[in-house]
Amino acid sequence: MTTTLAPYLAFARIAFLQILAYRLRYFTGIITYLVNVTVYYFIWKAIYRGDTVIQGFNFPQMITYVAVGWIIRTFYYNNVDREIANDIQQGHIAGKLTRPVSYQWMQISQAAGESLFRLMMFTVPTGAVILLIYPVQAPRSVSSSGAFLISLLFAFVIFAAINFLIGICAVYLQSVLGLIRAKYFLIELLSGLVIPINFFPDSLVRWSQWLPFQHISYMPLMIYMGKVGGKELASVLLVECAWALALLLAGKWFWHVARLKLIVQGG
Amino acid sequence: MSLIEVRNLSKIFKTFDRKEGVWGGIQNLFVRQYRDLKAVDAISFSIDQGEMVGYIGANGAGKSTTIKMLTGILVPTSGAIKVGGYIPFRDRNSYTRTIGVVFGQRTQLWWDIAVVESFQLLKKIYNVSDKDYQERLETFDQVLNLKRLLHTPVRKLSLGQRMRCDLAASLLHNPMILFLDEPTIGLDVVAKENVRQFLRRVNQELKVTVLLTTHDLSDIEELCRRIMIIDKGRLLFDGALAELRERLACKSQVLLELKEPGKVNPAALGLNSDIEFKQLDEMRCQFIFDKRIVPSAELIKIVVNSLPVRDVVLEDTTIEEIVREIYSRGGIE
Amino acid sequence: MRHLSILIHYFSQYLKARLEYKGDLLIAVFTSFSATVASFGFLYILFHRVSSLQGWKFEELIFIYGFSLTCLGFFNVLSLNLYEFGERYIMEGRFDQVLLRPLHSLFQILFEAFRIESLQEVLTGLVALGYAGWKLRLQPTVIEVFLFPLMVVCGVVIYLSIFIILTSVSFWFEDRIGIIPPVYNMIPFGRYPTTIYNVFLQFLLSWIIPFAFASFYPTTLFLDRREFQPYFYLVPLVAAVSGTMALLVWNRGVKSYQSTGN
Repeated sequence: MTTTLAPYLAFARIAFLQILAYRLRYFTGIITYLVNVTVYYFIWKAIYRGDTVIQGFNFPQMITYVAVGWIIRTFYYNNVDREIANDIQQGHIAGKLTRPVSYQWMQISQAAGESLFRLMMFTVPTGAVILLIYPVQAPRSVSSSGAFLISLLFAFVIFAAINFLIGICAVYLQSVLGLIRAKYFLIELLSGLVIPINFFPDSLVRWSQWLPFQHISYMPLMIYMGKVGGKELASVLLVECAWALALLLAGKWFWHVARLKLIVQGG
Repeated sequence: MSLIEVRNLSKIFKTFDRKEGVWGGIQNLFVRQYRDLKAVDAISFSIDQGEMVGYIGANGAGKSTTIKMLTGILVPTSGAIKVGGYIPFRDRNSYTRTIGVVFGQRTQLWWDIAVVESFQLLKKIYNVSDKDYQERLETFDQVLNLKRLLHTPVRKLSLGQRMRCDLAASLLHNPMILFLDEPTIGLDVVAKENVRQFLRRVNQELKVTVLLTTHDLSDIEELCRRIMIIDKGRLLFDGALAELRERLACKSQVLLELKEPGKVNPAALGLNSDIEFKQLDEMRCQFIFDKRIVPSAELIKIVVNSLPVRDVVLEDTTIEEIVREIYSRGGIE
Repeated sequence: MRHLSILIHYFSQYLKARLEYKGDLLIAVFTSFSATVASFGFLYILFHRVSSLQGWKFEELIFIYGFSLTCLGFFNVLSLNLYEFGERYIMEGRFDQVLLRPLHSLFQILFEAFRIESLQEVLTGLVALGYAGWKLRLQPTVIEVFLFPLMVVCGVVIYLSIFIILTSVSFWFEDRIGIIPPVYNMIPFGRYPTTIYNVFLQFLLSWIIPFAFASFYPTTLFLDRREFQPYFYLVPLVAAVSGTMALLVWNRGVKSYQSTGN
């Protein structure tokens, strides 16, 4: 087991070191997370001026939703799509194909390294500052915080697996920057990061139940706030697990297909 | 007054030492120790109109940095450069109209579009008249055989083809000086010869002053009467190639691999006494000689005829060896 | 004049190259449009559940959004190389070539490549403006009709200036991704009436990263919100100052260019 895992741990470590190399990006990253939470705090404050409860959220709950939503985003977010697209378009991929490791797992473990970095260097400091400034509520209960942590892990896998799929599109496209940008905005919206899913028009809510995106942000937050619990909780976690597996498999299959095309083209 | 005047030119880069490992990386986020790196260290020279000068040195010796300052890409840390009355960095907009530049490792043409489209874009950027453009293209075509390549996108050209197009592109606006950074790097023998022939004509017929850097001593031998050698940012030698040869014994070597293990008796070969002989092991031996005294063909002929040879390798003096030689003599003068 | 003709040449060259891959361009337009729709989703969903935002109607916010999107569209068309500057020009050393041509380096960076698909945003933005204006029964005066294109130009200049300054950072700090993405993602924050924010954010979005001057303030005259009039007339000044600053920072950066990419 250790010998098969060792190369992936090494990739995770490299990802960790690579992000450390850019200090300007690091500091701006922290600041922009703070600004994001602050802006949404004021937007919601303006919205809640007259109302006390909208769609089952009162103002303190909404602030908790927004703040925790951005704090966990510091953890699950990664740039795997860009990295892969870069590998493919710059032709670095040829060298990486020859390594005796799975390309998909290499990228996922690099994403894990990035997330570990983010957990230590982003989540903890930005989380601390946000908790100091804004009235964020604690998780509903011990069990909901445990389930929240598990669903966070799934959120990470789902996000990384989607990014892997997007990155591979570079095999078929001249430039994937547009696709990456579209994905960015779509995930921001459909994951429920900027607005809870139950605010959506009913038809969209139904749609999004059949999509993986709500498990990146909305579901973990609903679990955190105790709005999903009991029997429902178990089924949500199961669905998340299924999505994680399905997306990983889809990535594996897509990579298999795209790889053939890469080889035909001669990298 | 010379065309290119360089006085006490220096370029210092600031770098910092990255600490390694995870903890080191975290430290790097907060504290960094900067260090000065002298890439070019107080060099002076001048070049006259019509000269063709070779600028040589090992990797990282400061060649490219000098060229980049001469062409206005980099701002010198100290010292003065004057080229044709311009100060390259300050007067970049008007200065770049008077020079042509070719970097062997990178093309100046637009990657995705046909060569001729790049040429037309350059024509527009440099304000070249239709008549001049046609004339020059015609002239270049005679030596470089461009016509076939004009409608191919740059990314589909071979290295040699690309270099020919790049050379033509750099001369479209009739510059008075041509700077070349490693123009023959990675080219095969035929392509190299093609490029050299073209450069000779550009220098002799179009009267363009040429400064070229290279790794390849044979470029210099065939093209330049004058060479400058740079090492660790300092100018080690500036003068005629012949002069350098005279002062330094330029040693070449022949490596032999024998068909079967055995001991070679050099005396039995009847070789010139200046040739140094070494038996490296049972299978291989080495002759070190001066090309000016013994032509390599002659040596190889003797050796091959009188010994059971399986393989012969001829190695010329490299720039690194010349530089080492200069150092071991404690300077050239 | 020469610059204009070179610009046209650059554009037609680029268009020609892009049209060689028609399917690709089509996908690019489609993804670009999806991003636009998604970025609009927050407002749409929000107003599905609430009726006004601190006294601002949905249509008014659409108007601001449409204006910002129009400017942003032009900016996106020109900013392709800014986004990739650190990687393509600094780290791969392509900036050498730029400096060897007798044209200002910024001119070449902005006009050598275009994100053509973002013209979609200009169009969508204008449609949104038209829709909101019609719903709000806006009746622009003659002066307003003339001021409108000027405001769009100012908005584009402000967006460009902000990101040119951020791009210049690559001259001093080598980084493939750079710091543009996180700031780019803050653009939508300028699309809300600044009065919903506290003093700190108002200051940030007006005077530090003046997104509000490229989206909210320029629309206030057309929306008849008189209380913001001083800000409206400051828009050209802010554009001029940020443009000058961007040029100065850029030129400063070019001087520090180290040309290490090889």
